[in-house]
Amino acid sequence: MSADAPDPQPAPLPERVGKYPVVRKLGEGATSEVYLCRDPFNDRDVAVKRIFPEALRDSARGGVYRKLFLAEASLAGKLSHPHIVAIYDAVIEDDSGYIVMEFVPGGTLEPRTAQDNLLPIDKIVEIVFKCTRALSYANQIGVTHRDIKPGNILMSGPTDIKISDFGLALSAGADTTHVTGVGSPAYMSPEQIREQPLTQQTDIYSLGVVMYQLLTGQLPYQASNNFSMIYQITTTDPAPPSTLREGIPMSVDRIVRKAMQKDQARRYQAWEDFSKDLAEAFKTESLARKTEEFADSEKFNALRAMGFFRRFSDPELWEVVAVGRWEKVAAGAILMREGEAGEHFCMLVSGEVKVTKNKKLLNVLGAGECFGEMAYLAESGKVRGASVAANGESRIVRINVAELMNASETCRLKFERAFIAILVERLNLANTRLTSG
Amino acid sequence: MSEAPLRDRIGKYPVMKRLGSGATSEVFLCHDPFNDRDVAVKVVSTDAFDDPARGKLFKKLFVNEASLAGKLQHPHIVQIYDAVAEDRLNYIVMEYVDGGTLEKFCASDSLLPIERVVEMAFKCTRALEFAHRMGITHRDIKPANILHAGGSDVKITDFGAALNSASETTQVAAIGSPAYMSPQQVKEHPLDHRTDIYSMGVVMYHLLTGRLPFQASNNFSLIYQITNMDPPAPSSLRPEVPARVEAIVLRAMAKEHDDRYPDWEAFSLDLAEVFRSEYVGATKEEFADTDKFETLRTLSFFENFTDAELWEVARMSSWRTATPGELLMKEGEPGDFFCILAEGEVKVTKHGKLLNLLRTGEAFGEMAYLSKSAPVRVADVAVMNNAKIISIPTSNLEQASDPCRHKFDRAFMEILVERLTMANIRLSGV
Repeated sequence: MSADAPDPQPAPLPERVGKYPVVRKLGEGATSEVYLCRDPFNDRDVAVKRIFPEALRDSARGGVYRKLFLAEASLAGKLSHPHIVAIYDAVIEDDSGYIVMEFVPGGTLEPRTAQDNLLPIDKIVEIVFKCTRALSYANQIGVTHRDIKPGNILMSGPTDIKISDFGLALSAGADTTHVTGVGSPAYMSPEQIREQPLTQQTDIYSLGVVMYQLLTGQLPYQASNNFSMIYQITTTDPAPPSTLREGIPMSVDRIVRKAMQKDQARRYQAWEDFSKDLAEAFKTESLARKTEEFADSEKFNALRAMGFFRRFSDPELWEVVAVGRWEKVAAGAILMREGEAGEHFCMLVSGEVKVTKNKKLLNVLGAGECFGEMAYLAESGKVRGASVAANGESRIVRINVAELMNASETCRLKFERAFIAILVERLNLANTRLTSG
Repeated sequence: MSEAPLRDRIGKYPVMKRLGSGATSEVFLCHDPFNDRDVAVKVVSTDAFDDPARGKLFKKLFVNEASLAGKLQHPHIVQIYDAVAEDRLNYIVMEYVDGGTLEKFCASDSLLPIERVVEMAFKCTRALEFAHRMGITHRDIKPANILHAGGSDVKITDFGAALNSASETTQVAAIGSPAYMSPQQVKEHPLDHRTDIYSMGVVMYHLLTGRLPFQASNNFSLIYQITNMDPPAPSSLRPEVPARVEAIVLRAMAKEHDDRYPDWEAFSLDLAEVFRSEYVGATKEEFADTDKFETLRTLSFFENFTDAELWEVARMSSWRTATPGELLMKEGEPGDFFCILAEGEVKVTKHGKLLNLLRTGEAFGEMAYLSKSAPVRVADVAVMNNAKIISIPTSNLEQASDPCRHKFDRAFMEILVERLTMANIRLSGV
């Protein structure tokens, strides 16, 4: 309130947006600005994106736009996924409109597109893989993003991301369609530029561009004006990323090229194919890590392939990725000991283990099977009834029962359904043996 | 009658109509466009908010308490969705219940049948027990704070001291009557759940007899009576009130803590018992909600279910009695439901050969729910002696809340583990 403040002040911070007290400003675009706010009722920080009143007064929009805005925010609000920014509320009135979202402190991917700040290639593949899975999930719910760009992908951990700003109306309320960032349609697919009907393939194209930029530190097309940019997007081929940065494997070049195909028939048809190629690329020597670490994409795909997790949705499977501890074990390694207290159960990712009791072989288990699950199933099962040892080199996931209790209700529900299926099967088998014996 | 013109919207919520108003609050029916649902918005205007010294603190308390009360998720408690305290506008956004309050049943010419009152009181005691376990005392239990959700279903509203001191109570106590206040509340002693138990007793008294336990021409006299006098026996005002119901009301309304119900559990247990002994068969439905709930609570299958989940089970299941010899399931028939034996005994046979005898609390036909393959019964199930059968259509269970389904799965898992263990013992013993 002091009158003699020397600095020229930017526009003063509003005290609140809707019911949300403003903490500070997070960013600003051409038609909107984003604030960090408090939600006192739910006791959490939120990011509130406020659309400038001028943008709302635009006569070209008006009532239809308002309806669309709410409908799309409501739909996007139904996306519940660890790699998608949650939408909590959306309000649109005559001269104000705002969206209340999950607050992600890590900033966007934009700084990681600068030449001197690029991410390692394997990290980029990881990040893009997570984007493809999240966008595939959104597509299944019927939501196309239409504005994929580094500024809409937030960092929430070393390779963890959250995609923001789903929905045409929402991003139109933001700064995209009419002025993309600095005024360029750089991430738009050819069909988007031609204003043709759009499918998930437009997002696939845009994510291809994002990947290109993250890998090389430059956009696939350089242009001094939008017309030139549009011309190039629709007619010329970009230089392969590997020509711009050392160490990019052919397989990654191919993925970027296929995602950015101008002809939709030659582009990835579905997210599934895009994800699969990314996961494969990871296995190539040049990207395989020297450490014993498992990449998240590797974990995700290993779990996806197991019958046990067949009924798990993507968000639930990511929870398992987060809660599991992954290990490579050598042949002969003892994994569980009869009589010991058991606080975890295991899933066998690859290899073979043998189950013994009093040195008598009870069972040999292969990939996809679980063991030690009595720790989870029965109160009385906290003590191992048998020993388990690796038969050959194996990969296992340990899941701590206490940690699993912190997983979401739906995730735990899926575990129970999966265990019930196993128990029913075993019981049927036992009954058959009993009646035939 | 000069009503203020209807405002356009409250916060982000467009107003549809006014639902009611009190001394310091107004309730509106509004729409929530983002969640696409109707909500009740209670706008609170009290001097406490405008107090220059403590207004800010009070606003904070208002939101905090609403937030805490918002954690109460129970079929018989009005859900709070949001609370906002701004410069000029303070409001709570709640679940909308279209049925009015229990006040409409308090007039002597509109009294409910006694068993209905017992049913409703039972549901209130369970809901308040649930709140108590979450650490929340209501402090303003009265018919106006109990909404009628149809039949004998109720939903309690306005939890939280700051919330209801911000609303009618304190003011009404000043200008109107402390009719439902406990002696401890009148004396401004520290309060716990037993103040709510007292108030619930007064609500029962009012619903049973159509009048308040203490009649007074002024507050001083009323307060004197609350702290010193015994109310007239409910049966002296409505002769068909059974002695046992009367005893419950009077015990809930005991002036001394030592004579009052010590907890909700004891209160609700008495209500359930009186219902069973006096009214089973009195209602059109063979099984009243009270009876279902109390029965479920005794069955080991449900021992880990919360109250909220048990009410879900009560709602999704159908109950009946069965006589000896009746065939409940037949081998080869498709099965889209499973059963839990609430009482009695059934036998499981296959080709006339006895496989198993099941007793109270045990489940049968559950493979319809558990196995992935087409649900076909693999054995016959017949009643041995008079039995009460709870049947649950698998499609209903699929619609239940995640926590409730989760509890079913846990319970079934334990059964399966047990059976598998038995089978393995038999296998290794052969």
